[in-house]
Amino acid sequence: MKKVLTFGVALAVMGSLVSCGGTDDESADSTSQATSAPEQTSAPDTEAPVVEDGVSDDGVLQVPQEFDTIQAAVDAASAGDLVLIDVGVYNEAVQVTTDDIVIRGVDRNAVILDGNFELDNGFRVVAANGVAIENMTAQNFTKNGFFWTGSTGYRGSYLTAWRNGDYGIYAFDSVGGVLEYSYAAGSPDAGFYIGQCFSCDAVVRNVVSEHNGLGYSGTNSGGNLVIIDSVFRYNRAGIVPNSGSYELCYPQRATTIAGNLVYSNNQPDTPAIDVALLAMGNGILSAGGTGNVIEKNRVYDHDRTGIGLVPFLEEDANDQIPTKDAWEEPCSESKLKDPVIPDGPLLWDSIDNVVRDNVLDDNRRADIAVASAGTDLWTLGNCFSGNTHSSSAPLALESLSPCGSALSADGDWVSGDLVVINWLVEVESAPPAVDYKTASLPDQPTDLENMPDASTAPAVPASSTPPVVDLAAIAVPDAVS
Amino acid sequence: MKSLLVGFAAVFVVVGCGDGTSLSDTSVSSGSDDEVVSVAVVPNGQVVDVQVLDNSYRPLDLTIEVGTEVRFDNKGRNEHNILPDDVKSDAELIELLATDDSPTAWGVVSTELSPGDEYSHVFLEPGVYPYYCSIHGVPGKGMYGVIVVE
Repeated sequence: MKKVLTFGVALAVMGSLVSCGGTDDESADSTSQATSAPEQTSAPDTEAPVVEDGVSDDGVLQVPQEFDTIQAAVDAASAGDLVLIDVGVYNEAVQVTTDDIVIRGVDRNAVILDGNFELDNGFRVVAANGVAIENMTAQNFTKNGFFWTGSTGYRGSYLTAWRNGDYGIYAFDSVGGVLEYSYAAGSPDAGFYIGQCFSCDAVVRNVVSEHNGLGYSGTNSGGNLVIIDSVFRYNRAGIVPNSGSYELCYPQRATTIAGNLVYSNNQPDTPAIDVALLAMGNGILSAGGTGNVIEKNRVYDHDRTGIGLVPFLEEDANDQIPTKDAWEEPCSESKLKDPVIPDGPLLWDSIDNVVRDNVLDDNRRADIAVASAGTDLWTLGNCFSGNTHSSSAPLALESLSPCGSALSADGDWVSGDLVVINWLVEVESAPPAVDYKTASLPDQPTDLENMPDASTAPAVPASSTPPVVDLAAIAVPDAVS
Repeated sequence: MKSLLVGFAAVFVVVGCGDGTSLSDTSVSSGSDDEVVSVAVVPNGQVVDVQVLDNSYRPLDLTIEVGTEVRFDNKGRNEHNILPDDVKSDAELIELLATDDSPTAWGVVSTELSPGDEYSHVFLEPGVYPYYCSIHGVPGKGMYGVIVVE
């Protein structure tokens, strides 16, 4: 039985977003069913390939022309190969354990993996490095649409994740990654998730996440991790990085969230894990996050906060909170340490976050906010500057807590403060979670942008070095008209 | 004259089933030419904890004395399972446990290791016991662990 957040603990709680899950993996035994006659795809312009047993040696493994199933092609692929999937619906859960392969659909909107609410993951990449998945749709899986775990080098480009039971697109304990030009909707946890990594060396860019429990979730992730130029809307809550000892590599830290359009995350009819219910109505919410930079986002139309820095309470923690001098320790080292079980609940405060140059409007409780429970706010090191806003909690927050100045107890930190413990009460009357299988979603998009030259572009495995991002060039996006 | 092993909680011979002791084919030489003593391995009363987190076991590597109980506690927020490496799924584990009562038949399915659930097993036979969570790993990769019983 999942733990239930209980009222009566005099601390604010921000739950987290984890999941992963699924039934046992039986991907190797799945079958595929192409629903239309495949068109002949074009091989790269090389010398004539040698064909043996119907399979050419040109490094392109075609489904279903050469392999009946995606899994069969993936199993046959070697590093550097391209698994090219033709138009059709494939009832498969595919497991990938080969390094440096590229798996691509010829048409993002017409190459569809469908789990029929029986199969667990559209793609599960387990400890395989350099795997890139491109240009296709995964829908109706009981767990995740696209899932990497334990990988160095990963990329998801031009992917659509629709109505999957945990996450849409999910990278766990993986470093060196890119999730881009992708879309996720209809998951109870998050549309996009990057967790348990430091330094993550990852980029989430140009994605759209809507009608999920959370638009983005990131537990214990950070370090050269940027979330940029994306849209998070119509979720219960928008972007929610958090700390917690139920995963390794805590705390959450050093993520840059910039240039995103975050609006209307108050959706009452989405699938939602318990944490999403609790976080509902917030745009960008750091729950025990540390050292993040939140800048140049446009955040509007939220019932609670536009950008909130709140604590996360763990009632049954698995280790003590690391001291600041341990925050630079890479995940590969920290995960090997023996835990020290604390005597009581842990309160992960949001610490040392920078909130600057955002544009906020119509966030009904407060455009910008910081809160704790039992900890003096001026000791947390969070700062707010240059934000276009009309409300804050506490009042005059940018005067109390400007960036570039030492914080002090001077000033009124009480008036208008955010009493997050009230959220524990309010969640009892929140609109309940909806089954992801039947949740009301907008019409499934069928014209999302395709990868250029999908049928002929050469295979480029995922690099473990993420693209360089010019953060200075990022601008506040326009509002949706 | 027969010799007897006395005094130690961790006995280094014999395998038993989880619910008690049994005699194995392993024997201990007394030092004389033709006398052999078989000694039952019993739980030694030691309990070692393994945290089942999202998505890892902690500690990943564990070395214990034979007769030790290992207690797995799901401290995460998601279901997990514990499958020996040669078992592919919950269904296979159910079948294994229903037909094999040897000390090496162990593990727990995901429906019985939800957040807050515990699973315990007493290891009564020396050996290396690799295991994994099929939801979040494969043998030796992703979410996996190993127990060495000495």
